[in-house]
Amino acid sequence: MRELLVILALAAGVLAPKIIPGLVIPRRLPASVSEWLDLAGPALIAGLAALAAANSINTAKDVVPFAVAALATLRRRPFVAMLVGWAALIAVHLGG
Amino acid sequence: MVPFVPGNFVWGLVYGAAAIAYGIPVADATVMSAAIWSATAQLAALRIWNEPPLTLFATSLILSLRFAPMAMAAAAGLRQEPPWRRAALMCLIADASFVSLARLGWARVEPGRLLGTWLALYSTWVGGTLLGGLIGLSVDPRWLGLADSFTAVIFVVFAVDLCRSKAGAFAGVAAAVGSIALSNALPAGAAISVAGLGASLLVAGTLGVRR
Repeated sequence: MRELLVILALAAGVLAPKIIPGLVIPRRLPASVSEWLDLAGPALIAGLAALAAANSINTAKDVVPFAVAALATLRRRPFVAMLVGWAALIAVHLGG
Repeated sequence: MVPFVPGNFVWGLVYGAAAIAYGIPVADATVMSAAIWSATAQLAALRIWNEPPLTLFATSLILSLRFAPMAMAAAAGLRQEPPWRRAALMCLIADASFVSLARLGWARVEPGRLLGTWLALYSTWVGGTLLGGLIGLSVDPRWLGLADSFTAVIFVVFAVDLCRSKAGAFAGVAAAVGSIALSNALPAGAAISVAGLGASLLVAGTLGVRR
């Protein structure tokens, strides 16, 4: 019984921030709000990426795969940039 | 979406194995993955499993706050749907699906596409948990870190790709710096939400959105 309560409590905590915005966003949004939400997506992903990368960086050389991937994204398609970043990650890892 | 799937499966395996190590039966761990479907909330819950349910709810909520602005952005693109259906569709959002669908532009996202990304991520997460629990995987922490880095590279690529406009670049850099700075004081989910919303508000207010 306690396990069920725990699972429900955890699920409610995860689902509430997803469900509530879905219910309250009106059908018509002012242009300024739409433009802000357009920017909010990329900003959130940048914040998520920064924290994910920061958690993976322990030494100076660990920065290399992320820098390589970021630079490659500016010049190549994202999928190619991702492969380049992964290759750099494996190279750095194998290089010890 | 495809690049996220193997990493998601590996994290499911790791979670299943970790749950067994914390004394949680395979069936309970699998039901948790099926009902909660959040790596961060579930992994955090393992450490505080014996706390009261209200504490677990609060922890899970704080860690999941980042989904609120994600759901706002996504729901705004699905305004034609009735509210109850939009709310149900928002349950299908996760970090990886948000990243891959945001690249399309939310105005072009259809419910079927959202369902497809959810199916890929949900099935690999729940399947990975079950398998990880059954085989009682023993994972070298160095490989765990590498799996995490592979996912981080994907996030970095998509963040740079999405923040190419002048306003996007300003908002992205401000959000990245802000989330790292705030992560010393706030849980990760809250730090990302505050930094992302704050940076986008600041840039929308000062520069305007010009693409």
